Amino acid sequence: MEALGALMDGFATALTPINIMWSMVGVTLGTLIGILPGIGPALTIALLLPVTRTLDPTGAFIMFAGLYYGAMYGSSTTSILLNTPGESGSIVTALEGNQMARRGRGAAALATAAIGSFIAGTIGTLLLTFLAPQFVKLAILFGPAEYFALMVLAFMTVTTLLGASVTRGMTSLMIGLAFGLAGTDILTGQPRLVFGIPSMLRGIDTVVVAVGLFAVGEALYMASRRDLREAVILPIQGSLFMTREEWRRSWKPWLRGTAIGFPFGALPAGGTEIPTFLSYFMEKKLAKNPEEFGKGAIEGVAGPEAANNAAVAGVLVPLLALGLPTSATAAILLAAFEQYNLQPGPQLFSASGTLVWALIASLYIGNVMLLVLNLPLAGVWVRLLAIPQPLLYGGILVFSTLGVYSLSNSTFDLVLLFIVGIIGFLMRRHDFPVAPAIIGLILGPMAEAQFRRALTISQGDATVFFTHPISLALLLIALAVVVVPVILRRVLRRVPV
Amino acid sequence: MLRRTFLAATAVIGLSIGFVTPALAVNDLRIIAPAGPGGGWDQTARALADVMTAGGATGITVENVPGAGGTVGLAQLIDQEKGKPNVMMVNGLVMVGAILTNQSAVNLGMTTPIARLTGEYEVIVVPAASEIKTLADLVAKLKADAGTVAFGGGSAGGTDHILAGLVAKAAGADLTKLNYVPFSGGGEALAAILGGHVVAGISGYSEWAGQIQSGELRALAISAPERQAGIDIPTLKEQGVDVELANWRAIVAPPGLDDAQTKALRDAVDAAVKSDAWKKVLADKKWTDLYLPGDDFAKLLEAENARVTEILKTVGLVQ
Amino acid sequence: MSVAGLLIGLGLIAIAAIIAIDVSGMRVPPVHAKVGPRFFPLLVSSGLALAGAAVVWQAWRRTFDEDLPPATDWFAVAVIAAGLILHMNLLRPVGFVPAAMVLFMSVTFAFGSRSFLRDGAVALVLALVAYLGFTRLLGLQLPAGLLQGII
Repeated sequence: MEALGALMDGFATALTPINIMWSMVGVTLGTLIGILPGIGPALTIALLLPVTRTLDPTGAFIMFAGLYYGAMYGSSTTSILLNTPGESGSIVTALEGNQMARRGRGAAALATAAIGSFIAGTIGTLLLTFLAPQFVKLAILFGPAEYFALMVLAFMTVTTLLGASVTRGMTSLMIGLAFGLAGTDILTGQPRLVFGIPSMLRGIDTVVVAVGLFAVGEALYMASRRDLREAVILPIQGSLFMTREEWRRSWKPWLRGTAIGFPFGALPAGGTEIPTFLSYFMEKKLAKNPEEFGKGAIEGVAGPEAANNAAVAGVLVPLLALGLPTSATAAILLAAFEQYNLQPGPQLFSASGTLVWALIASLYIGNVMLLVLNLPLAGVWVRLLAIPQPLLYGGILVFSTLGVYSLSNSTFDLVLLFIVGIIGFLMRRHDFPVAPAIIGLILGPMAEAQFRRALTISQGDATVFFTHPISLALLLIALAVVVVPVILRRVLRRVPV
Repeated sequence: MLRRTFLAATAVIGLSIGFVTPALAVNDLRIIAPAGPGGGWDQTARALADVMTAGGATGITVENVPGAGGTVGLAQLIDQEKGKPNVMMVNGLVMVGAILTNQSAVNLGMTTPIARLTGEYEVIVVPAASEIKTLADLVAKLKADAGTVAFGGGSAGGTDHILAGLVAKAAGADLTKLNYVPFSGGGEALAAILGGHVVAGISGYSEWAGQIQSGELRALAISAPERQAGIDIPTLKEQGVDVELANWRAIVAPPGLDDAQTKALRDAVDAAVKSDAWKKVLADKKWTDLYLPGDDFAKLLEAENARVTEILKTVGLVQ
Repeated sequence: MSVAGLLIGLGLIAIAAIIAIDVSGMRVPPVHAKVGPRFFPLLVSSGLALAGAAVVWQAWRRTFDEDLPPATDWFAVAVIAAGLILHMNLLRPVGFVPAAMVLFMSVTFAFGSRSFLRDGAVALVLALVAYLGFTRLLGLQLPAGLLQGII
């Protein structure tokens, strides 16, 4: 229980008025940038680094931690209310969350997201405190072959997001995969589907596609439907916050989401997106009334949101314990450590123990602060929906284009956004689901790179996927995900109910 | 004194209303960082901007144009900034390789070279548990069958890849069988090395300094010409592999500048690099001073281009 | 037969063809993996072509657009599209604030609002706040354009 004592000391450091102020600054700024698509915690911390050079490192890191968590809260708010995810980790949240908001349950969706995030963040931080070394050992067992197997498993879960029509779902998935192909090929450095345009070498950013399909496509679609334009959305229907029933349906998804999210965050190439897909898949499979998914099922908000925040806590595990950055934000945090001449890794705990424990303590504090900030605000945020539609969509498009432009100061990205927006509009008009496209875009490039990396290392020997035990196990689970429901259905059909 | 006051006054006006004085090239300078915020090129651009501002220049801004090893920024510099005397762009060895692999229509030979600024040497590492104890062991393995030695590092055709090629060539291994696995970021490559998924890893020294010091990684060699102060790693050369490689960072200007405009930029950079503020930046960030101005830098660009082209052709990335 | 469905299906097949053609002309360096940069694109291209064929088939059999919205306000769509195109072309030359205002006003107009004064005022405030927040607080570069030197 050595860690416990050190943690108490950490709280003593973090709870000084000045550090509480830094935490406040961090969570507020984080919530704001989380709302904006394209502007994420990585970019903000990078831009703040020069400013914080003169600051005391403890204060700076407490602010960064608040910012990191805050961005996730802010992003889910716009996902739910405006169907415009601010970060890729909350894309899944938009699926059910926005449906809930349209039915007047926006505040409940925000509440379950905030509480789920809080619980996941707290459990994640606890695991970080006590189990970091064990998780690190597990994480580096994952090589390219294991990652590819993981992607296969993630692809199998996509079936739940395909929607009613297989043709339309597969089309959407293929469109997403096609977007992911463009740009410089990671393995050979050769240009692919670039068509001689230098800006295309960068590839098509996830944010451009997500914002184009969701925000721009949605705005065009809503404008095209006069009948929907006049329909007034009631911001609040029934009780303001979560009902007893909604609590009952949320708590298990929170815990399951946490369990999925944390290990993914700790994996060097895990990320926050895949655990949210997996959590959504799991909740839909376990739900008593799966037909409610797509119409605003609270489980579909609670699970993925918890998974997202748990993954954020997980990312800190390899960063602090090994000096291993596993996300863009973690890489920038690593640069911040270096700015203060701190070297993350096993020595960090012994060499700069006070700072690390203060940072961990500030994660707890930041979580409490965000919950306190977000729960009462949920009632205020939902009133955004009462803004007249013209102004609301005008604002959404201004901020969407702003976020996309600032990705790389490129008007070409705005051209891409426009094209993707038109595709998004057509998909919506002709009833193609949007989620599979996003999943294809995120998983496709990762799956391809890991598949080819694994084969490069093995010099073309494809058996690596079956000889590595973890990879084999993951592939078997993926197979089970597809086969077991079919068998179960057959068996159940034979047994008269 | 009067001049000082005048300059300060123009500075204030310049800041408050964005006043443009075209005669002074050092003012209102735009420095393009052809990468996202936070990386090495961005830090170099911002550090140079800070030092120049501290030296009295006004209105200096840094613009990020990320993508494709900096070739997106290079295309902008050559197509859209042509003939503009108040634009510069940070670049580096990585860009030399990226131009070749991307089959880019523009190259560094089209720019107006200003100066090489800083650099960093590369290290070759293996995980602590590896059976490879020395560079000689690695060379022997490379010679026996280069295909079995999977190197993990950064982007294809980048500095890490080039060093892998140079070392394999110097070791007398079959370059066409070089097995290089590019990873998207330092973190992912590091994880693959620590987990033993690749045989060896290559990266800039500072990125893995912590893991080398803690003993999780064993550094076999550094690509510097001689031993570096405070870094206890033998060079490639002293171990019989005749290779040196610096991951240098430099600054260039757009094409189409006349001699006076080029000289103004070179003088401004020269003054900044010789200031104490720049020396402090180098010390703080642990960057190696590789200042090489003007025509010498232009010659270096040519030499590096030739060397990189040869390696990338042999490994097959470039036709 | 659904004309829209037919066009969408053919569009998908066209994209599949573009991918296949571009990738076939791509230079492939010798790779250890035996699976090069063409494998996945060709897989995706086949998938897209199949999906396109399925959509064409459904359109032909009139099972494609079973619940298409009753009426489409193409004028509103065109206005927003025009706003987006204007915005991307105006952003650099005239700056963020005017470009954002043009975009905002095009959206409000498309959504049927005719309170130009209110919409203009909201657009101006929104654009200014966003501009100042970005450039001052975060230190990001946004084109100042016409307002260069004023804000």
